[in-house]
Amino acid sequence: MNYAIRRIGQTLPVAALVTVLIFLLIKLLPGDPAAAILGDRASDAAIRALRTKWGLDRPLLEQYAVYMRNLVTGDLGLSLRYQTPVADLLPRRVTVTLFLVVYSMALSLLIAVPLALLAAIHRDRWPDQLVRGLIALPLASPAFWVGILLLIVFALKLRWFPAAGYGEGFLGHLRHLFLPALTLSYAFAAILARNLRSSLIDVQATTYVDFARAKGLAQRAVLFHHVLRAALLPIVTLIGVRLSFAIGGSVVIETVFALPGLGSWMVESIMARDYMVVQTLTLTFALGAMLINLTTDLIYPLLDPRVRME
Amino acid sequence: MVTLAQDVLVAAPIRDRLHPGLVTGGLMLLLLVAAAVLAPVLTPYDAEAQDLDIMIQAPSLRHPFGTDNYGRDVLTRVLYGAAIDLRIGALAVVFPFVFGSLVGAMAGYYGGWVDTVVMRTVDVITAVPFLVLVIAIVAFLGPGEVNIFIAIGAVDWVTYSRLVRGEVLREKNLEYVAAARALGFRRWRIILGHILPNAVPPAFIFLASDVIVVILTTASLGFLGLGVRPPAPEWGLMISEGREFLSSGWWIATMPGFACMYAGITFILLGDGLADLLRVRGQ
Repeated sequence: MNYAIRRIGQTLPVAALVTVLIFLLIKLLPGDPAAAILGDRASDAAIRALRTKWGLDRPLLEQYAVYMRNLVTGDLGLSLRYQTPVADLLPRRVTVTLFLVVYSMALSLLIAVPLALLAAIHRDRWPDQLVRGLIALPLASPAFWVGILLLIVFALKLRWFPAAGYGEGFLGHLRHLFLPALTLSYAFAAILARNLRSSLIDVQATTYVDFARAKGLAQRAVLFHHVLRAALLPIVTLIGVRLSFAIGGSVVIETVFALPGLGSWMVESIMARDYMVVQTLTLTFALGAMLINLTTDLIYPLLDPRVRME
Repeated sequence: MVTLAQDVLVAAPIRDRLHPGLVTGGLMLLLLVAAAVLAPVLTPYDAEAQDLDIMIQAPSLRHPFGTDNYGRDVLTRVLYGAAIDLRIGALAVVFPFVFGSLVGAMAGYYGGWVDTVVMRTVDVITAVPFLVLVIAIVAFLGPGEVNIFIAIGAVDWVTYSRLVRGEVLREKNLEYVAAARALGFRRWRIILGHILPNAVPPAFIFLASDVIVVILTTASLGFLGLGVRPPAPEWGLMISEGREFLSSGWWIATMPGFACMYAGITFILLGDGLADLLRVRGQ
């Protein structure tokens, strides 16, 4: 419990500073931010109104206070493109991205666990070499390009999966998001497999595994009940870290597969110079990533009795 | 860095100097640099001139990677693109490496409020997913090569800081540092001349994989229309331009990706090889 409170206590100040960082992004706009946000055709009166609304004519600290007050009261700004409050559009978009990210995590595990087992069992023989070679490829190739390859082969040539969109209903989502989730999981599965492989090898060398073998347990029982369970533990933290990477990757992947999620919305908004939306989405991504990291850190002691004892 | 490399090469036994991964990676890098530099000699075509008579032609002997929708030779553009992506990859990591290492060394050596300020900043920047923050910064600054450097410079130094700080914390209590202090050396001389050379190898190894991250990020930005501007043959931009022709001309989008993958494997081999060499030296 103390651990949980301490961990949350560490996260909150960082989250507060993240809002400062993202608030300052708007200062990167060349020239007058209000004019840049409203575009070339905006009237002087509109620009003046926006400046007053955000307090852009006030000192920086006061501007930040206004920004935070708006955030806390749920006023996330207006999408100039859709002429709708960002807060109204956000939930639907979040759902798509969340579905995609969780789906890709599940696929990563499905890919990585068998590969890692194969490599660890045949350590330093050819299956191991092959898996280790395969693992290098995803780290070297751009994810959006892998997505395009999958799109060409499985959507355009073989027509097994749709090329774009989110689909209807849970099964529809599963089918529509399969290729994007696979794309997103591709690099993650590689990192997962690599870490799980060394984790499996470490666990196999521990005395309690020797003991389980000495008890006369079948090789398979030892592997699945003792080794794999323990080896997956350190992976939980890794999942937290990599999830935040996956969130970043979703920006590009959603664009490739035309998915109506947060990432494609961010790209659309950049193109439309809808800066308030870009700012709000950056914050959403950041807080989402922090929340995921915090959650995995809080779950970890529940899974590992050794940490719980401390 | 030359001294570090020399140090490594002298210290490692000959067998390890001929590390197979490092040799392969080195040769692949040589080939990549040669492709980038010699592109004008290697190909008879122009990277940007259009020839609408030969639009979207499949790979053939005349055009091994085919032609794109403007009738430009894709292989030519991939070769010229090597110069762009490699240049950005190599240059964009310089500032993060130097600045991050220095700041990390200061944080580790001085401790106290310097450490707190540096590490909180690192925490805040790390909290935002890398690609999201880079995209956001470029979104506000506007597209273009210079703004890629600024965005990556602002975000990427944190990893180096963290790596070097950790090493400095370990090194600063060792005897040779105490000796340097006893000799009355100034702090800067101790940090730069004594601790940093010993603390920087992990950051140096990370440099190789970071070049991949930067090249992939540059390609992602190009793909999203936020990077290098057309008609420049940047790989990510080329992949993006080929997206409209996936059914009629799959080669337009796929070929630049293979180039990107080749560059990635090159730096993975170099990074792993360097890591092995430095581990040998460390033992």
